[in-house]
Amino acid sequence: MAAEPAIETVHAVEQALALYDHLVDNGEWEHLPLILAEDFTLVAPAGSFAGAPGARAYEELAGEHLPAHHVINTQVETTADPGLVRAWSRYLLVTWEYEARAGDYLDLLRLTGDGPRLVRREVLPRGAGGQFRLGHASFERWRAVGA
Amino acid sequence: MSAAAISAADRVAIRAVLAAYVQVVDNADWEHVHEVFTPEARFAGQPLAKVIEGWAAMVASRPVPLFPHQCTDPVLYAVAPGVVRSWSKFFTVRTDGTITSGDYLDTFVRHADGRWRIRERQASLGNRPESDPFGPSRRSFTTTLWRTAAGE
Repeated sequence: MAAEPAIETVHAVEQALALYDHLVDNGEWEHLPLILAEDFTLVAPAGSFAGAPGARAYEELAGEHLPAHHVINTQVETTADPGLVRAWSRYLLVTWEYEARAGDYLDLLRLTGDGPRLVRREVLPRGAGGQFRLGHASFERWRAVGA
Repeated sequence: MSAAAISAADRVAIRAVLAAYVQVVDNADWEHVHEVFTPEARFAGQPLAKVIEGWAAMVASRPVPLFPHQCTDPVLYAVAPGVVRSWSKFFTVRTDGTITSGDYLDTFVRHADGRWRIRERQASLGNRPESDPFGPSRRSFTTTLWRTAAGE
């Protein structure tokens, strides 16, 4: 088991993950570099997306009315690289039609002097619509992130 | 973006207040509202006491308890010593199983007793259609607003 990160690191990671939700929900795409690394990659059942423009393209696949994003249940671990941490969260999406969608984020974040930056995000839907097309999140899969 | 100005202990304390708010509201537990808000607090521009009167009337008129709120996604930004802006989200699960979402934008201050309290809260129902029981809504909070002290 990896070492526990400092509580300040955990809080900074949680803040970055939450800010991603706020920025996406409010269409503040220009601020995504606040929490995404330049080499950010998002992997989802819909494909692979690069950088902040890729994150926007992925989120806008939802259509005219983007769902509200919520992130909960976050765990953070150190990796062998002291400049990188991994996080495993559940996401909850609230749709325009008042329905819920849920799944997992497996994240790799780079620690910088300006706060953590997401380097890689894997989106793994659970339940309706997701059905583990990319497999499901697990401890083994999470701990392979940044290993 | 730097969050270094807010200590871990303060972050934990502020998040505890955000959690306490949903318990106060969902339980209509108004005698504990002072654990969340300062005495002079304003909610959506209104004095808190007036807002609570409205909530109490709404809760009393409903055949079922208020939909349970869950608070998520707090991001904190120190705007001055002892003053922190918080932008968080909430979702509610309604009695028919449907789910709704919204945002809170708060100004936290360290109260005279040393504990953090909300001095000012704005709430948004996020994006909701015209047919929503609480009325239509469109998002209006921004990163700039979050990082700006209330009233500026």
